[in-house]
Amino acid sequence: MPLTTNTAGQMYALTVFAPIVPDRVDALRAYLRSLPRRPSPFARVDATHFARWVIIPDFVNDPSQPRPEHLPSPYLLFSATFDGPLERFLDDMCEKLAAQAGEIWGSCVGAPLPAVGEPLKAYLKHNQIQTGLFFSAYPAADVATVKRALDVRAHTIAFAVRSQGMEPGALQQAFLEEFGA
Amino acid sequence: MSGVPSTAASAASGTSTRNVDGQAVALTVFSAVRWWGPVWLPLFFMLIRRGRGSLKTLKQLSFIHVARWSLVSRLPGNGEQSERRLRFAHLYFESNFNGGWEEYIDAFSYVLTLGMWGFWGSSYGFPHALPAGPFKDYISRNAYETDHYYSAYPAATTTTVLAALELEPKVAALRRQASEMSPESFTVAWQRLLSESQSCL
Repeated sequence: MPLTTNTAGQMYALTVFAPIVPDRVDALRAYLRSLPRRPSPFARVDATHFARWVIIPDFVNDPSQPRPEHLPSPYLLFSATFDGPLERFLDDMCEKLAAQAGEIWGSCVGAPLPAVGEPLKAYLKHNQIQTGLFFSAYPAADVATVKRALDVRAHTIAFAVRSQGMEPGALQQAFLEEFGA
Repeated sequence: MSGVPSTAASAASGTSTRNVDGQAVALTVFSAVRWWGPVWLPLFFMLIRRGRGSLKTLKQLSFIHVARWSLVSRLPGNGEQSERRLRFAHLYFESNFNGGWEEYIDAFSYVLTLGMWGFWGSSYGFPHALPAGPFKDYISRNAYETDHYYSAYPAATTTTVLAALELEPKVAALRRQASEMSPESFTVAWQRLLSESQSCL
């Protein structure tokens, strides 16, 4: 994967900032908040470590600013941290989240209608914000590796407790049964 | 607008439950930056990428899974909305961390005191990293509540993930050798693994 400011190791940080059709904001918020959380639709996109949708009604204006700055309309922020590359993630997301993606980005200004497939990918890339600095605590680990490692750790802890006091032969046999030969 | 904290606060994290998925907490912040921010921030980001010092410090904090900073200077044209250059560029910050929101911001303030100026010193209203109270208020004012948040491994903290990634190859190595070992040799190897991996368990 090419080294860019969007990447850390094999991880990619995607940020998309797209304007929402003003009279669709409330419906979009209700839709996003109605999405199941366990499992989230993102559980179907295997490469995703973390993802969020956030409706940004407007910028916060600090009193010390010389002049206010307002968004032309509410914006939808989408961010995902996933196992790169970008194209493969977008392909997978547009396929496996087709219904949700159509509903969500179909509420955005200038989005293709229906918001699916290649036109949606182009729209997301058009509205991508390039990352300035990306930090990952474990940049080399993909989602499958992290999940497998967590599973092995949980099994190891449980086995360490369960195997206390076992005779050597029984311990070895139990280990091989627990973790496979 | 601010999502931190909300009335639906999660006792564990001190933030809205919408910003939480299991152990993972989402922080989403925009801040307007002064005229020199678009010059300073890319340079600062580049220095950090090359020096790695502050990123190493972030790793040592050990409760941040991933975080990012971006500078937004223009909004692309879409449909009837033409491209627009912002009067004030905005710094976007997001974090995926575990633990309490207040403790998270406290750690940033106390551990990354100088680095905090690098990140937010060009932002309007930045009150300095210390004392931590005004900085927490500042982040809270500029934070947004997540409408949908996902973590692929919600039960895991950053520390747990790092421990698991360190442990898994050791268990795999023992698994490969186990069937070839005598029971006594295996027992020694298993005890050694537990002893050497105590910090991972």
